[in-house]
Amino acid sequence: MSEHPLEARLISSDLIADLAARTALDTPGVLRLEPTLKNLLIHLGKGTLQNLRRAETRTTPARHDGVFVTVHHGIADVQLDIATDIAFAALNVAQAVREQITRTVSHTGLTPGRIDISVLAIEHPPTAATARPPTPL
Amino acid sequence: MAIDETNPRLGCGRSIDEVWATINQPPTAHENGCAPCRTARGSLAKLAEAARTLRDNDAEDPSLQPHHAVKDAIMNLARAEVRRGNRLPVFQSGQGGITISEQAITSVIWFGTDALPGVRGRRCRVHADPATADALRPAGTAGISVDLRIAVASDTDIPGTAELLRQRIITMITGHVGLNAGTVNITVEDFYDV
Repeated sequence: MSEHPLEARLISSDLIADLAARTALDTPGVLRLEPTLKNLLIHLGKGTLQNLRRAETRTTPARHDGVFVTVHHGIADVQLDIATDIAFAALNVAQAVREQITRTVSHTGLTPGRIDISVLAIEHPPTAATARPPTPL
Repeated sequence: MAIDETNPRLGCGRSIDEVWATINQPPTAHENGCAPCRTARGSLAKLAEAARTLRDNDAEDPSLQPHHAVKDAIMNLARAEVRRGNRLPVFQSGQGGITISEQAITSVIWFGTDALPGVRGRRCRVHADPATADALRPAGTAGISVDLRIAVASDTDIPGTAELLRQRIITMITGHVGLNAGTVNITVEDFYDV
């Protein structure tokens, strides 16, 4: 038996959120992650708690717009809000994102749980010459 | 009889929490006639007043007000979420699902509508197909229905244009959203050039 204790390693929900965000943005047809009120309020809540605890660091807590991750009993649930390129079928893009995130989460050693994707906008890419915002309702 | 030592009780048997719960209301007949309750209310009234003063001061303290940028960010996102409308479920499985916002689908419809000469889109609502709305469904099988209200130029061939618009919307929803627009109801509600 080794005299040195094994070092515990923790895969946090922030890490999974970071991986999920990068995986989504690397998927063809994804323009960006869409921030939601839920994300912002969670972010503000983290900042407030940090202030209340008089944390020594003044750095902003990790923020992942459009990603909400919970890890429980080795299972990672991911909710992702995205905007897709109108040149792609949004449903196919969302399905590809789900499959890629499932694979990415598996590689961390966690079990992929519910992977929920919401397509909140379908737009022309901002660099396209013909791009214009959709007509508001 | 078990005695709850964690919850202080007055001489009359009432808990201090019961007195506190009604501290902002007029005293009851019992509280008017009960000396322990009157004493407790007197003490708790001072505590309530102190708490109210602290709360009011915090509400008016400029240093405790959120920065205007924070307020703007919250309001911008709140407005964006209202504009997005409902999230229509288009794929469900035991391992999660996919939803598409009403606004995302509507924006595709506007692209198709505004590109048609003599047609101006006015209002559009999108609904998940009620026949499969609550069922588990594999990708590519979800259907939606569209209610579109438009204004047209006065010299427009309305039946022909409406049919052309319907086919265009069905094609665009299939190609850009990946759904089947089973029903596209078009209402011509006005001439925009009269």
